[in-house]
Amino acid sequence: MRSAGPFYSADKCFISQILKYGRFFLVYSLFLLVACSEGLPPPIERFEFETPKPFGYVIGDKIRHRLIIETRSGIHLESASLPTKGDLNRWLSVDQITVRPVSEHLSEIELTYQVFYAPLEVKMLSIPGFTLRFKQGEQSIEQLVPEWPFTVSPIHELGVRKEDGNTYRRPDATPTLISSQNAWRALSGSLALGMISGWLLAFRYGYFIGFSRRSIFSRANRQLKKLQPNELGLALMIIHQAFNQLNHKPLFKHRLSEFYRRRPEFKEIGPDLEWFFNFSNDYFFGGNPSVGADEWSALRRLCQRCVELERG
Amino acid sequence: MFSPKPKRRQSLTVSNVLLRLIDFIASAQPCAGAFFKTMKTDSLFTDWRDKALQFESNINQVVIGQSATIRNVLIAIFARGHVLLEGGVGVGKTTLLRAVAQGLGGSYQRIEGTIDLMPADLIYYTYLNQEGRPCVDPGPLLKEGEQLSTFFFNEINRARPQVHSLLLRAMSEGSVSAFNREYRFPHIQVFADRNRVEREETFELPAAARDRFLMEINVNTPVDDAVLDELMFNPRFHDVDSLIAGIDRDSLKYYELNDISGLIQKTLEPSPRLRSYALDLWKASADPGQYGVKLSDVEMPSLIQAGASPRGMSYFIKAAKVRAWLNNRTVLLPEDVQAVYHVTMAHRIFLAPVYAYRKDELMPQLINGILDAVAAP
Repeated sequence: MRSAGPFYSADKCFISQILKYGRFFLVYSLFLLVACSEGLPPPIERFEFETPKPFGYVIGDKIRHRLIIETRSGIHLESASLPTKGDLNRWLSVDQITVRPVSEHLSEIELTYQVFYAPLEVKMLSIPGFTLRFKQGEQSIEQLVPEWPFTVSPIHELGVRKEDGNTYRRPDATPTLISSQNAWRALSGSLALGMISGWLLAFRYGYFIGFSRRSIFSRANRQLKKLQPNELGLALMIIHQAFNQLNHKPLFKHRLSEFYRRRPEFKEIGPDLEWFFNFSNDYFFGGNPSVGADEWSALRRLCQRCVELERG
Repeated sequence: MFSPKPKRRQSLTVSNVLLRLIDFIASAQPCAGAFFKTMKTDSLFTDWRDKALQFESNINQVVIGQSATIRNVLIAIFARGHVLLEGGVGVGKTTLLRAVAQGLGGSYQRIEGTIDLMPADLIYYTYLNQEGRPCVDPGPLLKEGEQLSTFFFNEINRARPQVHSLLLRAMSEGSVSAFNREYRFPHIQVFADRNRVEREETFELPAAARDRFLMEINVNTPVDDAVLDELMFNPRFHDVDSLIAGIDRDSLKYYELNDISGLIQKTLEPSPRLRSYALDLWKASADPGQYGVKLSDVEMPSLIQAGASPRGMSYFIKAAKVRAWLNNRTVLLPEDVQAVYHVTMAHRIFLAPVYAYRKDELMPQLINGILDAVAAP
């Protein structure tokens, strides 16, 4: 049997000492932690209210306020809490409200007011404050935008200068106009350039009434594209008519040399023209034409070449 | 009183016998006939074209610098039409006709138009023979009978209209009535000429007489200096008789011309498009303003008194077919009708009296204007 000797008592005493000091240490550590740690950040971490000079305004002037708001994540602005556009009171209206998110937490709100107060002497007025509301889940957070005092001044002349008992009035000094000569020059140059380009294009494509000869084969080519290969006779007629129009009179194979003298640019497709007139003679007068896909393609090619030649 | 020369018998050459044999086979076996007929036609066409071109070449060596005129005369010969030549004095009209007559063979007669020439002078002439007895001999028209192939009426505009009338029947029907009987000239081809220098004591040919001429050909002085030099200095051209004698006689057999001419006309069949083009050319001769033809200082609606006649248009197509054949084609092209349009139409279009005095100036413009206004296709 184990006896409870002095050794046993010493152990027990040692363990109780450890527990006693350990508890103290734990409490002390917790105390330090609480003392060192910050509390939770506020929902509105940053609120800046940027305003212009609070004086020197006259009737009709616009005043811009800017609010910079940085919030905790998960907090959203309630747009209903912003002032509405339109008249706030009889002398102040909200012209424009712009909410511009800069980042997830940072937003800028720009408010533009217009003053319609017509004071007879310098007067202190205030743009009323309002409360911005934010939402975080079910929780609502508010941020007060303070009222903003400013002074407005009259725009009439001092009473010392009067004419016939009436208040002296005069219009503003005529502003010096910025010279528009360079702009006019640039505009005139651009217009001239545009007109010359348009004229050249119209000339090239034969859109002028007097220069319709430059679009003869373009028109023929468009007509040709609408035809089927079995409408070869019609296609030949269209090309013949185009040549007749270009030549000012009917063009026949035996008059090609005369045609080349008038339109030397067509000489380079001389063999094609020879083929065309031979084929046409066979088709219309020989009564035994050999017609196939090759002939149709050759006609299309010839017309296309003529389009290129007439455009120069 | 007198009897004309007997009718020439059809010559029995090897080619004629062969042709008759082919005709016999064609009538017996239609399929074989079609083949042989085509072969025969091709062969005949080739032979005759060679002869015609050789004939043209020979004439060109005698009458130089007139190749266009000679080509037109050749066309007229194979179209069996009469020709009116007009030109200045001494440009070679008579030489050309004598050369043609020599080449054609057959009989050639010539008469000079004078103001006192009467129709009877063409039919007969009277004289006293050596025994002092009055005699009547056939005139130039009847003298050669059916062998008359070329009748040359020199200065036709100096003859009276009565003479023109007699000539009308000989030209259109190839016959005249005299001595209570009819004389036929199946091979006759009339060449007439008139000079454009003198107008005094002349009679304008009536429209009916002009219409019977297939062509009116203007013969102008050559403009090529080399040709003029030859004509001036080469003695060969100073002796017309020896020049004419150098041409092969009978190089074209006049009595075969009617047959080959008929064959050409039957064989060359114009396409519908060509017919339409020729029809437009005809209509334009009567109403050129309708086709957009404009002449300076001319009221187009009142320019034309009468356009070409149907007979004239048939002559026109006949001439165009011969041209196509001479160019070795059996297909009639617009260039054929254009080539003969002036020579076959200019003398058939009658201008209104107010413009008639400007005919020499206006007619070429009108003809060119019509050809430049009508398209095909």
